[in-house]
Amino acid sequence: MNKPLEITDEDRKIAAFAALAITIHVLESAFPSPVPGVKPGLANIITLLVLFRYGWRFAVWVSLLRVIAGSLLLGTFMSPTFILSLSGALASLLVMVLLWVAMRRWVSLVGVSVLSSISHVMAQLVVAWWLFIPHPGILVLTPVLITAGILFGVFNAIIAAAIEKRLTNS
Amino acid sequence: MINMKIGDWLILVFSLMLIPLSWSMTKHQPGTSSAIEINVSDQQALTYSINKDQKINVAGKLGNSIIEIYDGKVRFSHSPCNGKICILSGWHQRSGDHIVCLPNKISVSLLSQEDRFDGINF
Repeated sequence: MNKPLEITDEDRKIAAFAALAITIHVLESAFPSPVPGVKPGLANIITLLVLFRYGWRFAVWVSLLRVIAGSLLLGTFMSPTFILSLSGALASLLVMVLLWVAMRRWVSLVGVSVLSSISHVMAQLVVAWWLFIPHPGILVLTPVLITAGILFGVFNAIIAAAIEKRLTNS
Repeated sequence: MINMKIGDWLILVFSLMLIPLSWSMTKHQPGTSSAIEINVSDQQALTYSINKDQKINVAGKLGNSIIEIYDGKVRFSHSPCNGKICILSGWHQRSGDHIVCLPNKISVSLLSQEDRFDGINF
């Protein structure tokens, strides 16, 4: 009765890319940030790359695995940090998938990266306000986070595109 | 280096417009209080507007304390207690602040419209 779980080639690819994303995620969290909440989100480069090469299902897997396994490694699983991280990831994945599936013809990595980055930030702000800091003072962070989100969104897309180019050339 | 499509440009332009918009929309408004509440031991709380300058004489356990409201701020200006901590804490105007005189059993709370937390930590 116990059929061994079949591991497909796809699973291995997901695992490998998720491992890469988790590594970046953990390394990035070791660097202090001058402004609380502002992070480049370099692990998203992997999500973008996977989205571009293998489609949105892959991207969802890699992103969620990164959030969950990354939080286990950092010891933040089920903490507010984790909840914020997860809500940001879910929001940005939603935008990513919608853009990629419905508007594939008109957008490429830059648009997807910037818009998903903004939705990541907004989702985190809403959840933070709703669950942890019910004070209008948190709105003061909005412009800072949006600005950083857009800048890093473009930055990440450029890196992802550069990696993609090298991968196709090699 | 990176080929952008029409949607990318649209998203980028709108996002860049969002930056000044978001900065201008969130002018910081400090939570100022509009009323104070004075509690004396276990008696019914008294509420005063903070917009009317006045001196309130409150009879506490040790004697009379004077609570002064001036220019939207409030302080203890006289107290019969020994430590005078209530007077030394000075003027208060932020909602959610409290001035307490334990010896005289008088506390002043600055009321606010909404619940105010500094933050919740785990």
